[in-house]
Amino acid sequence: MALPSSLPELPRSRTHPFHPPPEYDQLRKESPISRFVWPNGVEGWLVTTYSEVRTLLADPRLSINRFNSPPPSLSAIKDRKPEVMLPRSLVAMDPPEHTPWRRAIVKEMTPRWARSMEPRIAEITREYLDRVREIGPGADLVENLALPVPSRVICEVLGVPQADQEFFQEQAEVRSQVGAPAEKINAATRALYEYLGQLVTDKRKSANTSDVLGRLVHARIAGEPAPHDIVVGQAMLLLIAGHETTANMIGLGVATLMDNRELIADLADTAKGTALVEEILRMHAIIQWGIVRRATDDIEINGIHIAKGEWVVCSLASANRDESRYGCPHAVDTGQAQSPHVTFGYGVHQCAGQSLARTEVRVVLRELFAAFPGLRTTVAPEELRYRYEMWVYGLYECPVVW
Amino acid sequence: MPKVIVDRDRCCGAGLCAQALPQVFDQGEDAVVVLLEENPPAELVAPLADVAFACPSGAIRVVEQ
Repeated sequence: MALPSSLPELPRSRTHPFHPPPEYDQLRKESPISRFVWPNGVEGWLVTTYSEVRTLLADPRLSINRFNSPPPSLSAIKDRKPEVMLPRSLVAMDPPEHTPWRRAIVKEMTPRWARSMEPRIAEITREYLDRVREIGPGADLVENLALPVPSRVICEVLGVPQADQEFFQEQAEVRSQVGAPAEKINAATRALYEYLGQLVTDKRKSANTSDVLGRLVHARIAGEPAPHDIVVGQAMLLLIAGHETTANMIGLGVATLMDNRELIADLADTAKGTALVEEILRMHAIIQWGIVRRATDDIEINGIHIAKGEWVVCSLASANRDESRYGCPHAVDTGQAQSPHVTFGYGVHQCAGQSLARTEVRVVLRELFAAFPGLRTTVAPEELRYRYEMWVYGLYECPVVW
Repeated sequence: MPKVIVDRDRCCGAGLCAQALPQVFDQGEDAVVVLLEENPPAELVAPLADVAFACPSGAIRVVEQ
């Protein structure tokens, strides 16, 4: 067994809930690509500057496929969610295998389509806002708004029958509960997986192609029929990636606006609201420990040699605060044209649901403050409970009064 | 005048170009970029540079001619 590594760990201790750990500021200045060690002893490269993060995420020699690799792990962290092995999906495929699957999915989720979804998202949002009003002051926006709205939307997009949506949402909710025991979370994941498996089977028998799963199951991918297990994997990916992430961004959006109340009015205007949401997204790269890739070949970058087989972590949160790109990196600044943030990643794996996510965050925040103009969190936004120890950052709860 | 070159093989279908400059770019049935205007007017040089920079797959190049 090798000696314990003397390398620093991935910075994980925030000193303020709105900002990445301060070590990143120093790393960007002194060592944009540096060595670090995961708690389980696996070493890797940590990339912290905007330009280097983008360059490496666009490099085809960095693989997203961790299927046959002993993965690095944060397992020394307590409360880490257990994992049920899921079938392969976009996030385990490199080009050229990735390319036709990616196209089959992103064609369903274009910016134009996301705009067309706006009225329906607003309608669903208002339904849940009525429930918030019924619950009354002290209602938790995470449980009653931020989680169920994206879940309902993705149900409708995938084509989950209305009668099953409640079950579907319940399981999805269990998966994002923090205190839930591992067996309960695993059971929920399995229940969703089995449910989607059956749904895909049903959709294969039907000629109905009015929803995404109906079309995907009948699609030909690179000339071949789409295999059942991969369609189920893609459905799970769309569900999981499209649910918790958006929910957390909505919560962080509310918290951020508490400190920037003068910007709430911007939400009423589509262009201004869009710019505001971009800044909220830039401030909060919720995949808080970055994204992991593995070098499939030797890579030279800025005089650094990344050897074939080595792990690379690209810190999206740090790249979004790069002083060389942003005049006002640590505060919401809608006043000037900004470099595009990397919260959705970069390269061919950039978030397939980014347009839907943008629309959901903007519409939910807009409708929320239109319904409750005086809305405020029950405690100072800095004192809410944040998901410091979770892969996907955000708020555990967001109790509000109005 | 700027000349736009798109690489449809590289395109990953994010559609950011068609959203930002619908008079120049569109997305086809398969989400892949469709170039509507190869020689856009000179006043689009700056927004074209932004779009080329934002493209996640590096599928857009703008050259001066």
